[in-house]
Amino acid sequence: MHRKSVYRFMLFSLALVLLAGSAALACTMIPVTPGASADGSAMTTHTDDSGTDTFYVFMVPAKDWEPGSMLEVWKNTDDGPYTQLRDPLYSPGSIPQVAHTYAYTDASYSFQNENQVGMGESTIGGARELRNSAGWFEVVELQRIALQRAATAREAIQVMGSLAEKYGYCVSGECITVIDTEEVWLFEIFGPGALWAPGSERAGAVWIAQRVPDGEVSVSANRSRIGEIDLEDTDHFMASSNVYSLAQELGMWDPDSGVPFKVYETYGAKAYSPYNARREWRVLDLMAPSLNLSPWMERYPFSVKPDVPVTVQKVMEIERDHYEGTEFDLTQGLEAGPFGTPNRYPTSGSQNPEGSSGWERAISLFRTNFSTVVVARAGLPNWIGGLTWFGYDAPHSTCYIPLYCGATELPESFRVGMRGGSYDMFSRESAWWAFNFVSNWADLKYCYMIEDIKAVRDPIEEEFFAMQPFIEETALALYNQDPDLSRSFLTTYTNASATRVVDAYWKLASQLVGRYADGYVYGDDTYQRDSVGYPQAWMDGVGFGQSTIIPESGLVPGIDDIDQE
Amino acid sequence: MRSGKCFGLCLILVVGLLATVPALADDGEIPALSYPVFTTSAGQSADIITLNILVEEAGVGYDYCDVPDVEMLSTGVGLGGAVSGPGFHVEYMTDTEAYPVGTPFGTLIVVIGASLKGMGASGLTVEDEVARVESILAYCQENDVTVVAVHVAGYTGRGAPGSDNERMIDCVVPYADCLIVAAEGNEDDRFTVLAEEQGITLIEVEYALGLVDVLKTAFSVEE
Repeated sequence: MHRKSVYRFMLFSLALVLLAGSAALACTMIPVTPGASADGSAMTTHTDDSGTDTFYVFMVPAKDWEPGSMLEVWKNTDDGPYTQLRDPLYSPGSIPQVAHTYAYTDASYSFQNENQVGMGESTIGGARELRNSAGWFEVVELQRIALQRAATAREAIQVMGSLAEKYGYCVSGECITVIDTEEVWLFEIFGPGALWAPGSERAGAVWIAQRVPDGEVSVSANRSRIGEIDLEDTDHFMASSNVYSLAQELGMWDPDSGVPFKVYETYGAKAYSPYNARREWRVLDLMAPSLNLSPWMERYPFSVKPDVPVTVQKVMEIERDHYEGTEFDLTQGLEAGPFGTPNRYPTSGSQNPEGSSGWERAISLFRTNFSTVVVARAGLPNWIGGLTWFGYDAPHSTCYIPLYCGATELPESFRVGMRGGSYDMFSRESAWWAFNFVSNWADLKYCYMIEDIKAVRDPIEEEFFAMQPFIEETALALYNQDPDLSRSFLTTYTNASATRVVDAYWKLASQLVGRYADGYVYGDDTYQRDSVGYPQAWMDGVGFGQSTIIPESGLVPGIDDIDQE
Repeated sequence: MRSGKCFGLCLILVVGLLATVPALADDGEIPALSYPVFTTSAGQSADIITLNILVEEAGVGYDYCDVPDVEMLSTGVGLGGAVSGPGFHVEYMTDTEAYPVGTPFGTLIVVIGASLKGMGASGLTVEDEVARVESILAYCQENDVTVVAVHVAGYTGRGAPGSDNERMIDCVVPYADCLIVAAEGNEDDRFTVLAEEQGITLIEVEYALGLVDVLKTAFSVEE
């Protein structure tokens, strides 16, 4: 081993133990292979759970570039406008541009291009000694450039990996799911450590990619998922050239120890926490209940074969999950409040009981910026086959909108607005605020208002799914006549769908404000105001009325007059 | 430990090293620093890990604690036998043959970088951290321990006025005998101005890795 690496290995191991319970990151992804899905689609979900990111979403057109063109690299692009007041956009430099860039959907975490290459993201942290702020690339910029340049998932991985190796990677460990019509991959990337600087001969990042076996599904929930790797199996593994050497140099792995190299025990090392493991369990258990996976396993399999073929609706259902019906059900118990809210707002780690990681961490989170189900389908032209079901704000309260990757624009309301700060940022011009408002208001009386939300959302989503074959049949017919006509049609449909949902949510917001006020429920049909009070179980649990029981000692005699001189 | 073997300066070697340190900016010359060395963090960011790796790479032995107090620091090498536990980490890399346990520290290297997550893991608020850091730096000042303040987080490790990072800079710099900063974090000349105001040396390195050569020079580490 490298000098002192044995000592560092000991420290590394110790640090893992001491870091137990300190994880506090976000985002969940569910990748589904074509062989595991009901219709042969490849899919990946993503919940952007930062709570601070920009919520702008817009289509970037394809473009040809003159030889010698340069591309400016940016940092902090995922930050929202308010966050950027504190951390402004910053460019460490420029890289050579390619001759042609593909059209793609740009967002805090850009998610699909016109070749049906799709992505999700989850911050996985990992070993802190890998961080090196001199790197040029944050993961969001790597995603963006890969979508501009890649025709396949493998190409996207190579673009991200090679750029990070050359120019350096500067943020904590990240996992990106990368899909195309045939393959589904998990790409995990980490920094190069302190002994790298731009221009040095060392690689500026270390990365590993593992393909999800066809017919199976996987999950990523803020911790590394890749274990042992076999780089001779090029169908299922890719990695940077330093994948073994850097781990040895940093004392994370000793090849002579007999212990196999595992990504999640080296670069991605993180102490066990239900914050991560519970979501892994939930996704895999809902996909393959026949496995009877324990919710308390330290590690879950990289991928499993689902019991039944997976549909888009199924993964949406999982994205909206709060462990309902399990012992971890967040809608139950005193902590859910009188109206069964699944939301648990952040608390300080120092408030956790000893040995606890705090609240259960649901897949659907109150602070989710947006969530997606990105779909890639073979047998269709890319512009029609590539489709992202997009939902603003918390998955449980959103309505998923079909955004075809062939669409050339989105409503203006998708790229305006900001949040945070003490001045007026709430805007009815911004689509995000409609969903965020509905979700927040629903927290006042969740068990009532989630039903109002479903009453608006479910019929719309059902109609989207019912119409999908006909929309695509029409788009295909147009494509065969003139691809541009097909694209125009998909743009119109995408925008009409988006606008319809946004309008419905603004109307829903007004309805909820009118219907639920001052603790009462106003009935649309009955014209009555119901005083619904509180559930008995909750009142019993909080000791309802105890403070107003007259003490056994009786009342203290009254005083008619008192001298207050 | 190489750092122990090179104690006792070789003038020719120093001159030679100075001539081969291209990463050094010309802003100033690092003063000669003395062993034994103690490293710590002001703000509990992950930059302390970077610092310790670079100090080690320079061949300089050190003792480290993330949240030391004055009492611990005053016990010198070995930190009075302190051991790591939840929210508290120590690391002993000092050559105790050259500098036995209990030897008073000659240099404190403190890396500036605020992390709410890091402070939270140590059970600290920003106010706690500022008070703690100021107390150990005051101790150093009163006991002739040279304080080297380091900022290697670059542009993204700075922050707007009033941010936690800026508070840490304001907390540490008044006690520093020398500043070493990665250039990207000094694009607004914040550290340049502070160094001029205080009349202390500012060493600007292009990247954090440049710290290795600076420390080799300052501690006269034999190649």
